[in-house]
Amino acid sequence: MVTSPKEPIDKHKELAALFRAGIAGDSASYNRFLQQISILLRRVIGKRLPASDIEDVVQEILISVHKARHTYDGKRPLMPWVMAIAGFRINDHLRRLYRRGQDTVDVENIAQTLANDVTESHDDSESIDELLKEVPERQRRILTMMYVEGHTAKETGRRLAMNESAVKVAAHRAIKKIRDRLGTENQ
Amino acid sequence: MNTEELIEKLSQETSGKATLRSPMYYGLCLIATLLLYAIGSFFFFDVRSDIAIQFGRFSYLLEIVLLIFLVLSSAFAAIFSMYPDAHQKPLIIKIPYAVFALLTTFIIVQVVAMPFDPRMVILSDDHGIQCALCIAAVSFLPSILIFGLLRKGASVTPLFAGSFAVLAVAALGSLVLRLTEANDSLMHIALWHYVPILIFSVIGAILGKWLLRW
Repeated sequence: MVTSPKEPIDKHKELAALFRAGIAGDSASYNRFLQQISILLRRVIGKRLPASDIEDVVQEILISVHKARHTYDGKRPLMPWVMAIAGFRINDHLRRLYRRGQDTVDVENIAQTLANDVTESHDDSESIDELLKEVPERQRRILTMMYVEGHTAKETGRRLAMNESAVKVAAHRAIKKIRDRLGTENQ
Repeated sequence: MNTEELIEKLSQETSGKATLRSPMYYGLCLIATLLLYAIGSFFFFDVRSDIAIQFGRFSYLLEIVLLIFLVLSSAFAAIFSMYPDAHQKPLIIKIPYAVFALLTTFIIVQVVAMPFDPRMVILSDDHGIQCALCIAAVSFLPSILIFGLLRKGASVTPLFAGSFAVLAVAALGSLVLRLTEANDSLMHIALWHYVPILIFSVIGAILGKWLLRW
């Protein structure tokens, strides 16, 4: 199907209309607006952040749009307003990632590295089970669920009544602890 | 909570906040308040006795005009920054930089071209720090007002918003001082009037980062 160049403009007008109706009290329109904007945001965020962070940032932006809804009067184009908020939250997120330092590596990547290290240098004396004993019970449970049973961070969080970010942080800490331990033993 | 649940939750909270009025409305209210405050300050400090003669001097007149522009442009820039998209007038938040650059250039040119006017090379006495403190004191109350106003919005540039807010009130403090203090020493003005404005606006940026979080 050939897309008409007018289509995005119409789409934006539709979004603005839904948002205006939403802030006037129509929760169904507001729900549709948030649904549609989240699809758009996923696309924008996907270009700047790793896939594992997209949902977190989309949620942050949706909350921010909701909190700042009183600053939009409906008399000017909506998208620059939404994108200003989105840009602000994306930069916030990038700043947080940067602040966490260069030791913050994607959890999946570390897990892969860890698996390789274990098989290569500890194949005769160590096992993952033994390494897991080095970390606290809760972190062990998280690692087992994520890397042995194959659950996602979100599913793990739901089962352990934790939010997704907390699960990722705990997993990261546990892996770092194990990696430090391996490093010490190798020296 | 997943995104679907979040959307469901947010859509149940559509009512509550009243939409902000236009930035012109808040800007004009703020300017009117600052004007009243400045008039009150003139009564408190007493306008300098040679004010009529001073206004006959081009450099003094230009400095006062630039200070007034700095107050106005910074106040409006701060107000526009409380909207995430700067109410889609991005140029407005750049004007204070231009005015401050003009004012600084003007002072530097005068310093380089000294002695421009014999009254302007008189070295200041020992009250320098008092001028900076006086600017801070005059700025204190309006800065509370302006930060209170900015917190109503949702700035995506809190550093700049804070710095514009403090720049506006510090420029107002400096304006009040220039119209009340009978001291035209360029060195004194540069060191104890304009350098403090710059320092205060940096402090404003830091305050903005903390106070305008949302």
